[in-house]
Amino acid sequence: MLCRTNRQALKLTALQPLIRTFPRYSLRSYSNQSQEPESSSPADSKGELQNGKPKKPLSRVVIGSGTRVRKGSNQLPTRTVWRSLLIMILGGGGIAYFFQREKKRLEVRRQEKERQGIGKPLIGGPFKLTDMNGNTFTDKDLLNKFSIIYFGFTMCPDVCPEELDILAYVLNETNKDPNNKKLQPLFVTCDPARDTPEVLKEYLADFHPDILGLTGTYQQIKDICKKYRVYFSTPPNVKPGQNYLVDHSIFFYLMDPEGKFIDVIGRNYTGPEALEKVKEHLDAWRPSDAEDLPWYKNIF
Amino acid sequence: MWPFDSAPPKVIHTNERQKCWEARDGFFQCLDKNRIVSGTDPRAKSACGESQSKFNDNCIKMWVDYFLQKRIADVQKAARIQQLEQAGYKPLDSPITVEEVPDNRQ
Repeated sequence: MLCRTNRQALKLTALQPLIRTFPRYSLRSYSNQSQEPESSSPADSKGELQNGKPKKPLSRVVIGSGTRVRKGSNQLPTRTVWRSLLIMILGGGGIAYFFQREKKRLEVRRQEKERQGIGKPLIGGPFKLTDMNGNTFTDKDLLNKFSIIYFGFTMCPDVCPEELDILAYVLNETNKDPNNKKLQPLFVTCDPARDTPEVLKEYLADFHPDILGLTGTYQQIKDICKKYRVYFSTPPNVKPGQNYLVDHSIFFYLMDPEGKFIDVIGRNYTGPEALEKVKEHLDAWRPSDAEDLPWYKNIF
Repeated sequence: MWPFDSAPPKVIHTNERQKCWEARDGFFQCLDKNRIVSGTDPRAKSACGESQSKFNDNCIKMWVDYFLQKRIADVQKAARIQQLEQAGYKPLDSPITVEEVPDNRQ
């Protein structure tokens, strides 16, 4: 065991003078070896100096090396070796980790971009409606804030109220800071004949004060429903007071601050699940001009 | 004030809706107990007369009709699902397990 360690040590110390004294080295080395007989006993390989030169097992050592090994120096290189190994492993590991992370990030980004598709968005687009306070509301009002849009009608017997309770649950969390409301909640009626701004205002106040009701003419509602891929079946010629229910698709649409569609939240989500999903999107979203920055500016 | 005062309700508020839903649940529980599917079944009146009238009083006609229809559809749906599951079908949103197919190409 001892012998082996020493041999290794000698071998490795040998590299240092080899590099340092390369030009002189070949001349000297030959003369050294011719003077000193080969020794294989462990005692001889301890690195003791004879006439300022160590004995060494010739067969294990690079020819001519070790001429400048000092006494006791066979302990130091072992440490140096471990140290450099450690540095190599840590350094290599660090670089590997960095590249792995970068690779994964770019993969996620690629998937996100793929999902965005090419050309015009499939969901959303220009629209013009009237809000429950009588003001005009267009797609421009979606800009600079996240919006969550729900399509329904106030006479809805069970589904819409349940969904609006879920929306209220989400808003209680996202909009709890009055100075930093993170979501603009919109309720678009599919029943413009009965859902006037006044009805919407009275109805929605029961759920959450932030929800803004939107209505319009039958054509305007039909237009936005088409753009948001909402199916609904209000008969176009119903008179107010006539009894009917509206059949419609049940989705929340999450829109980003550039007015672009992010995701839908369906009927299968509970309040906490919907909140979780909304939060995920709020955290993950980046403006589209930041996407074009060079990769190294997006790392940190 | 309201231009269409003849129209029954303009807005149904949360408390009214809650009352309606409670009345509906009470009536439907009674129907379940008596193994009656349709709320318009003549037996419903004799078995659950009290809860039925409560249901009719607390919900607008439009909703009563809707809930009765929905109950029939729900019962039929549940029966059909049970039938399919007994036949070995699995719901689409259940995690799909793929059995390993032995590779015979070699």
